[in-house]
Amino acid sequence: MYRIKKFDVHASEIAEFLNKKLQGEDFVLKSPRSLLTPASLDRLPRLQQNGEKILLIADKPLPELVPAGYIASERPELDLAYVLREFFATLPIHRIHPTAVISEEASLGRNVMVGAHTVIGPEITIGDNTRIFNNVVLHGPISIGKSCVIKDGAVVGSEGWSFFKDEDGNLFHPPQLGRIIIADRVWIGANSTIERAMLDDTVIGTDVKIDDLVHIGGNSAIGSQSEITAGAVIASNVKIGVRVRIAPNAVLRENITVGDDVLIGQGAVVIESLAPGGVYVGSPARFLRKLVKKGEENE
Amino acid sequence: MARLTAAAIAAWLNRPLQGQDGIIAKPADLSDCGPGDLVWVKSYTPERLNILETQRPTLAICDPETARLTTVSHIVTTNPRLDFIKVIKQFFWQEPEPYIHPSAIIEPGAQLGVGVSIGAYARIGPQVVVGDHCRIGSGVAIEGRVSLGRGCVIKANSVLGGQGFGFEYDGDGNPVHFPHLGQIIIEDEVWLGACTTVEIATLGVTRICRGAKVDDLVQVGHNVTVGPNTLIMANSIICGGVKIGEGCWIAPNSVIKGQLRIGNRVTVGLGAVVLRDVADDLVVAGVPAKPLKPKA
Repeated sequence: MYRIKKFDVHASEIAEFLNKKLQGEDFVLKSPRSLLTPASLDRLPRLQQNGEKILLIADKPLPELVPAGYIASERPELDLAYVLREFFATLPIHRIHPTAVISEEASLGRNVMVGAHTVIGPEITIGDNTRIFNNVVLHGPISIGKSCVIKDGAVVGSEGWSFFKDEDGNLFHPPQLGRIIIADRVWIGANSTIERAMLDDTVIGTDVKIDDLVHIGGNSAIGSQSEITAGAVIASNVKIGVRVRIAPNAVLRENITVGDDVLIGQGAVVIESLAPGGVYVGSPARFLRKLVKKGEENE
Repeated sequence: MARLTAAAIAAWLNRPLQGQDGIIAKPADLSDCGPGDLVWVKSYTPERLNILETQRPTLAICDPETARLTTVSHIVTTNPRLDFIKVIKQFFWQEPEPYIHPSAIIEPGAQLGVGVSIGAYARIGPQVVVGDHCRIGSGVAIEGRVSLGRGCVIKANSVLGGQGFGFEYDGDGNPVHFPHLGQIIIEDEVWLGACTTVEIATLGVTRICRGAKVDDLVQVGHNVTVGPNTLIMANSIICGGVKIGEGCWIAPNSVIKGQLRIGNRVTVGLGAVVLRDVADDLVVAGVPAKPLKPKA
């Protein structure tokens, strides 16, 4: 969604923006690819081959590299993200694509972007600065907060998965009358699906980030600042606490609760409720160890 | 519309109303109910009884044990949830009118039954037959020889009839695509979730039988048969040529290896990886999937 700005940026400008000291010469960065952090060292050989000047942002100098410029930083990756956002990236102009189908009963806030072929049904409110990309389908009633991102092809608010056998053994679908409530700054990945429940609300908390191809069943609640990565399936009526991280392809069965600060491993199969503060892995998921938070390692 | 009363609901269900009559405003969940509400109680627990007694909904559809103890007006039934749903469908729910969005692309040659709904930007290919009263969501693509029975539901952004993922290596190690020339037959009352894909068969038929329900993000491979009334949950992968019997329950994120035979009334657990045939009435789970116990 971001595009690269075509500007030349001085290394000294970057240091000034980060409020840090630049060591080495001041030079002009031709592109953001000249920025190097400890996590992206595999780009180093190509940069050296091209003879590009390098601006290194790192927590300590590297023995094998003498860069043109060096900025010492405790959180290099975070500072890199700030620099990219400030100097190099530009957001598309907020607009509503002419092929988007938006119901007259939907209400959109200021600066909302809606991509091509996106369908927004009735009874939907969308907060300011929310960006909805192409081919997204929203079925009401939904309320979406401010500054959310819904990536291409996501389907939010379709009828929940709920079937029962009637007397003749035929499967029978009840009406789904519940709502979906999405708080502020939520990210929903491409082709992810979030369902409505029969009567209750499906709730996504603030700052929740949902990756591509994730499924969230009706009547589930995701606590704020949680991350759900690609391919995870959360069945209906699952209540997830705050700051929970769910690794790719994990699956959570219906009617369970997950405590705060839990990490669920890749491909884990969670069939019972999880206590707070643990790491759980495997099929069926079992307690591995206590989750150690940053800053608590020494305890 | 005349006011809906508890007595009217009881009369429609053909069961006696126990306790006094009252006016029903809306259906509600037990955890969040009050006077004027219609609720259901699945089975007796002291907590549920306590909620009933303190929140005082106007009418409860409940099991015999709760009915014996409560002072709230109630209707006794052996399957409270089913009767509750029937009441919602009858009194609180209106099926959307059939509507084909002007931006839907329906190719010449496609055959549509009566009462069909098609969402915006859906594409119905020239060889497609859609049965009566089907509801096709926005952005759905149906391509190739595909026939849909009566009353099917296809949620948004699903793809039916894409070419199957079938390759054979040639002498130089390049994968050569097997042209898929078969068809997809979706029988009556089938439900397909959002972002689900069903592949066309190589030469024969990919078949989803009557009443089967497939959730969101599911991949149904080429030449698969899904039996009647089988449920396949979110993100499951059914590889090519698998035959699944009737009344099965395939839980989320399971994978079934190609060409396997899954019997009738089988339950496949969450995240299972099924690598062998499964006989009737078994419950299998784990990686690789092993039988747990026969279904009661």
